[in-house]
Amino acid sequence: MPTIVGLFVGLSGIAAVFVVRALTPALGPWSLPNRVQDLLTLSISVIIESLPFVILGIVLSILVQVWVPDRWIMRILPRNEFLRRAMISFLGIFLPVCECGNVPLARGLIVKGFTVSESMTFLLAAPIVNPITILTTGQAFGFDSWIFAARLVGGFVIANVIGWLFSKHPDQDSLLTDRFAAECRLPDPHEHDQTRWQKSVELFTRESGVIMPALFIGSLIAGLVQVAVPRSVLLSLGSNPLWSILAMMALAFVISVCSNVDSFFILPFASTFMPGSIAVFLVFGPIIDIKMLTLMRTTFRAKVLVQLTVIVGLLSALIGLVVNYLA
Amino acid sequence: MSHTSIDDTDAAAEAARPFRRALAVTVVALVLFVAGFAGLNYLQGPKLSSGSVDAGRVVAQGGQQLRLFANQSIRTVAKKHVSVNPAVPFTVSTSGAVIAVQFTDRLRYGTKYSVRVSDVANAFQPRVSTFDYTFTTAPAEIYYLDRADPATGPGQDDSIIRTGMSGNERTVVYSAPRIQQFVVFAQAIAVTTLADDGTSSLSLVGLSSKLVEQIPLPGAGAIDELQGESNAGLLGFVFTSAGPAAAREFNSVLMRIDLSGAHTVAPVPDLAGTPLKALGWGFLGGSTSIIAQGEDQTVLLIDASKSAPPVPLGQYTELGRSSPDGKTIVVSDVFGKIAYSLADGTKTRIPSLPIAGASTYGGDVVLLGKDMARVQQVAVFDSATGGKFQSYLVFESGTTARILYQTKDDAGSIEGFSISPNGQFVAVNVIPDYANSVSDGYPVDAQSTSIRTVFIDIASGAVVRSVEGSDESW
Repeated sequence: MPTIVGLFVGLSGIAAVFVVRALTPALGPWSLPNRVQDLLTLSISVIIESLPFVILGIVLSILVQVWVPDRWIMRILPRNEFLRRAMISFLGIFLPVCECGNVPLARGLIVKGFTVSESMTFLLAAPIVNPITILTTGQAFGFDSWIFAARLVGGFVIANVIGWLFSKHPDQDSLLTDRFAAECRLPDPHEHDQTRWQKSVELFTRESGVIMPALFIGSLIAGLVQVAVPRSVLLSLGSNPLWSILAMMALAFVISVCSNVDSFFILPFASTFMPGSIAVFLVFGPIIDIKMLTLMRTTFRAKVLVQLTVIVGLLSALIGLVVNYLA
Repeated sequence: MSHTSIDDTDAAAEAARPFRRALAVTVVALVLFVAGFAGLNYLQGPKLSSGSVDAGRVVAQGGQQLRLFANQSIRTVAKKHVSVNPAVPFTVSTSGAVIAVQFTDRLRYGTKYSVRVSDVANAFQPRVSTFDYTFTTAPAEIYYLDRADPATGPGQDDSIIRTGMSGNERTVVYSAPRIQQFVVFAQAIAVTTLADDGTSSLSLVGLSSKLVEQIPLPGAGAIDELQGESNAGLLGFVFTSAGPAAAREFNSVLMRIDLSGAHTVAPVPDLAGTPLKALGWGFLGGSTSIIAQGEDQTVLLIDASKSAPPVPLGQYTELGRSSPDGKTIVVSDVFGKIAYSLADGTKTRIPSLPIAGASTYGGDVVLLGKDMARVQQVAVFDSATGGKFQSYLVFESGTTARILYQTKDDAGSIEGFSISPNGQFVAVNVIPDYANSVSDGYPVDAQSTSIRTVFIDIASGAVVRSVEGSDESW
């Protein structure tokens, strides 16, 4: 019932806007101030770009949780924890959604029995080690380029270092938010009364209810920061080996562009920025940005996200500096 | 708080110690690595990531660029910090991480060039670097016409041959009976062939596909002076309709075809807008411009890509050839030959320099573009041999002349010559034994059956290749 009421309110609001606009033509070519228009354009563009992948991620998450038998996934994974995480890093090849879609999928994997650190490994590796990202990165920078190699190897290494580090934590559930940890612990009260389809619909509604607000808020914040911080400020730092890396990390953090298209977004900057900084943008961005932190906050505690951000930031910077030194 | 609760908290903290230790060690190690590589990057100057130059175009056209890609944006590079070996004129520009070295002229064929850029720095670091880049230009590729010897029997095909400046490799790219002339383009060759009645046909032959397209002519007639501009995709020729002179629709009219568009033959208009009757004509190297001399001896500059009216350059007794860079033409008046600069309109008399103290009589001349350096065919009166004229091909620069070619025992005849587009080689069409030469009997552009083409390096004067045939196309 609340869903129907929400839908009704939303549709009524949209209809009201059209009615007001239709009844007030005398207002002339009135429009929002430029900065507000920029904010809306930037925020909506992130939402439009991410939404299909979020929905695909939720659908895949439901497939994994409801339709794929437990033994299928667990059986193919090795027992050795290092090999297991290494193999999990390549799951993105079969589940090619971008980073925003991977959040619900990672949540589903935890529910399915993955440890939190294994789920993190998947969450961090899959946006980079997946066929769409591999193809677009290779097309943009060449399959034999330093940037291409740094992105793929870097994504794999970061995901496994993070996975290894958090696997050391003795209480994996304490890494999760209380709400999500409770969801994972408690058996579904309707589990035995529901068909798979009913359960899928309920999961879709529940996951959408958690993920969508985070996506919208994250996109709005990303738009706000882009409007507030001129891109020229970041670009002016492009030719310094160190500052260019920090500038690209900041740009990736703010822009919040999906990993499937970020190569083409950043390609025009390749003539201004050093290759290491481009690699940093492509490694850091799919893991840590405003939108992703907002989405990940639905699952992980703030302290975990801070630790994650610090380690990923340092590893990304190191990858960028190594590329700048060698390339 | 109960003891149990305190114990649980202590136990949890104890259990989490390996994680915290691993986290701290990881962070510290990463910070150290980042600091170390940041230092290494700071101490390292810009690096050359890659270079890019079109080895083929750089010998075919002036103004081509070598682009050097640094791994970071760099400060503007001054020309004094760039050197090219062998030395050639160039300009330098910098944009972001790219240094563009633009070569003013065409480069030499098959030559290794070394480019060094010193004092390359970016805006943030004190360290400077030196970029070294080498590249080798494409070797010369020449096409020539090898006509069948009528003495070997009727019905033999003439062949258009492709070869280089070294070795003996020769590839037949097209064969057909009675090939008159041809012009090579990037993807095709334009070929004129002669029918038994003396009329011409024009074909476009794909270099790789070998597909033949017949280009309709404005009626039956003869083609002469077929020329093309490969870069612009333009073809031109002088066309004369068949039949009695009084009844001809076109009589020595200059025609043009744009091969990049519809392959339609169209007359080039003169100042009055009527088809231009040309005494002589030619493309200006590397451009869409035509230089032509009308029936009234007016020399006209025409842009063949537009319908703009021709620009008259004055009346002269003869129109000579243009320099390979297309910036200078040679015209003649009653007092001799004149170098006419199309850039500023200046005219300079071209003297015939003496050879070994003997006076020379200048013939066909091609200016090489710099300091009036030129290749010229000259005749020298040799009183020692009883008043016989000897024919030479000479390189003239400043006040000195150097013989590039003369036939053995002066028994032969220099029929013509052409200069490679980069001014490196001259191709000399020679009949070695003129007295015993036999014509192939073609009604238009007849050639001696013994004609040869000798290729000479202008700088050294060395003969680098000799082939049987003529009508070379670079």
